[in-house]
Order: sequence, then C-alpha cells, then structure tokens
Amino acid sequence: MSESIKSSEMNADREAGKLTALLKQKFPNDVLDFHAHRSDETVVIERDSLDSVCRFLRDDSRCAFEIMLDITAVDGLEMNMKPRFEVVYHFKSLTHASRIRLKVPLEEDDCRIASISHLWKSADWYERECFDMFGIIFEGHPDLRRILMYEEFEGHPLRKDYPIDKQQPLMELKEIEERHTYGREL
Amino acid sequence: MDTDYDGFITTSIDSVVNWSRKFSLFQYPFVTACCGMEYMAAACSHYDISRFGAEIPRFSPRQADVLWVVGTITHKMSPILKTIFDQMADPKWVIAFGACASTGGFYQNYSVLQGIDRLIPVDLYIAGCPPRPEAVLDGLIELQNNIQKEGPKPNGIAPSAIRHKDQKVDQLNRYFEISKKEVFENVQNPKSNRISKPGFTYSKDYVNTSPHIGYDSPEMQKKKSELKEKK
Repeated sequence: MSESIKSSEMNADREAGKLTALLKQKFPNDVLDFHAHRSDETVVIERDSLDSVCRFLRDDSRCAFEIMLDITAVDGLEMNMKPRFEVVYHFKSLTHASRIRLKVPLEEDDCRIASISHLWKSADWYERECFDMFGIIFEGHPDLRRILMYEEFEGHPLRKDYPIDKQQPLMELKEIEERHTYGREL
Repeated sequence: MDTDYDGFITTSIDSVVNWSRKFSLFQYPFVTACCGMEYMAAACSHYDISRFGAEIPRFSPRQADVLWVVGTITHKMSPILKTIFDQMADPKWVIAFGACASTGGFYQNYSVLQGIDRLIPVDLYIAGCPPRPEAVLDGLIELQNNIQKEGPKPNGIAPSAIRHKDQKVDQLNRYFEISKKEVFENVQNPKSNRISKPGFTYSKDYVNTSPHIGYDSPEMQKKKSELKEKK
C-alpha cells in the first residue's frame, strides 16, 4: 500500500509547477533540482545565483513575492547530506496567493551566502538567527551579530556536532554537591 | 520584670514577629514561562492566594519578601535573576515554582539553567509541570510554616534554604506521593497540610480498592464480573 502511494506521490513531485518552469526558463544553469508537494513548489538553486533569483522573484509581475516568510538552515551531518548544509528560504505572494521554497546547498568549509536583507527587510533578523544557530555567514548583512545567544557563547548550538547538553553559563554556578551550603559552614 | 522570664519574652516576640511575617508576604513574581498561568490562577479570586496573606504582587524587588521564580530560567537570564535576588531587602525567601525552576525540567540543552538553586538559595520547591494552584497554595503554606518555625536569618538566607540535595528530592516527591490511605479512604494525610487534594476528591463508595482493575464503582464492577462469567 505504502509503495503505491509513494510512487504516485513521487510522480506528482516531479511535475514542475508554473514557478519552477519559470525559474528554469529564466535561470537554466542555476536550478539544480526541484520538486513539488500539493502545489507547494521547492527549487534548489546554485549559491551564486541567489541574489539574482531573489530579485527576479520579488520584482517580476508573474512572481511578485512581496513577503519573505522564513529563513532557516538544515544541518545534514547525521543524514550524510552532501554538501552538509542547506539554507532554506520561504516566500509568499499576496498578489497570486502562492508560495515558493528555495533551497541553497552550502559546503561545510565555505559556509557563506549572500544576504538578501537589502531585498526584504524582514530577512535581517532571520539571517542573524541563522548565523547564531548554524554559523552560516551572510555576506553583505548590515549587522551580523548573535541574536538569541549571548556574546560570550562559543559555537553554534543547532549544529549537529554541538554536544547536546553542553552548557556555557554566564554566571558562576554552584556544583550540585555543594548546593546546600552556599559557601557557609553547616 | 523578673529576669527569669527574659528568655521567655524573646521567644514570644520572635514568634509574634514571625507570625506577622508569614501572613504579610509581599511577592515578586519572576514569571518567564507557562507556569505563570498557574500562578495567575492561584493569585486570582478562584483560588485566592490572598487568603494566606500573600496578597499583593510588588513589581519591584525592593518591596518584596518572597521571590517566586515561575518558569524556565536560561543562562542568558541568570544575571538578571541574580541581580533581582540581590536587590531584595532582608528578610527574603525564594520559591522555585515548577519543574523548570527547580531542576531545569525537560530542558537539558545549551540554553537552560539546570535549577535555580545553582545560582541563588531556594527555600521551597514546588513540583509539577506546571503545578496546580492547590500545589502552589500548599507550597505557600509550607513556606509559612518554615517562617513561623525558623524565622529569618540576618545574612538573608533562611535556614530552610540550607538543605541537602536529598531533601530537595524529598520535597519535590511530596507532590507525587498521595498516600494510598488518603486516596482510598478519603482521609487527610497527617503529613500534608493540603486543604483540598490536588485534582480530584475520592470517596470510598466510588473507588474500587483492589489493584489492577481501576477506579470502577461497585455497580460497574458487578457488570464487569457478570460479563466475565458469560465469557
């Protein structure tokens, strides 16, 4: 049963939607892969073309994506993804009531990608969050600082090679054994 | 007055002062997470925490006696909590409200402080995720008993704060250990000073006390046994 569903969904996935076709026509060398699920289209693109693709998506009247919904990343270390990172962008168009997802694969050694905060203001904090959690550097960002963690924090906690319970306290903490004394004699 | 009664007078005064302290606890709610909802429930008219003299939340730590740490404390927030604790005037008490404040709760990750007692001394732990308002009131009464018994100490740490890890565990477990007698015979546990039992009231008439069958009423039990015989 599951196989038949899978195959039918797979076939549906491979059908290029309108937006995918448009992007393929406009950027034939930069679209690496695509799929769609129930008319939600996903396009995987080359890193260097991100700026021009985003500009096209925002300004072209057939796309008109006014809203940048979300930027996040995926660390595929434990899934053996190659390349290791993937930055994911979600856009929404109010004019056409449509959505699109862009994915950009990134190598571990070269975690750099162009910032799109000059195209959508809302990208600013999402990129800071993404930098904070995954250590992906957004080039051209006006103020790329940590946004959730404190400045003293070392490393990027949502990377899969960050130890899951490693803590970096800001204050001096009592050890569990000496909790009850608080520096005084009992 | 006769000098023989000096000791007697001081203890009496202490007792009176402590009595007035325990019924005029001004609170500072340090609310950071979902436990705040239960705190609000306990503070509002339905459960009415002001019945126990802990009426007014002061939104300045300088005017407060009790610091309620209600919710998850992250490492980023820990300097703020420490500052607030230091700003409170003596005598002061701290209540760790809920699982997160007591032990870190289900967060064992890069961001969350594993129990506020690693940072500031805690007088009372209230278990639960989040604790029911009854548990909150129970905790408050426990704190009042401690204040009446022990009183404040000059350096700001109440003696009840000096407790061993095991004592903390005992105190947290207390909320999960409603004794069988209390449940099945509807008898108040002498150790517990609960006014109402958390969550439900049981009655002997409606509870089947034999294990592994559940809480069936006698009628339901009969029906079930009849069905079994038919099979």
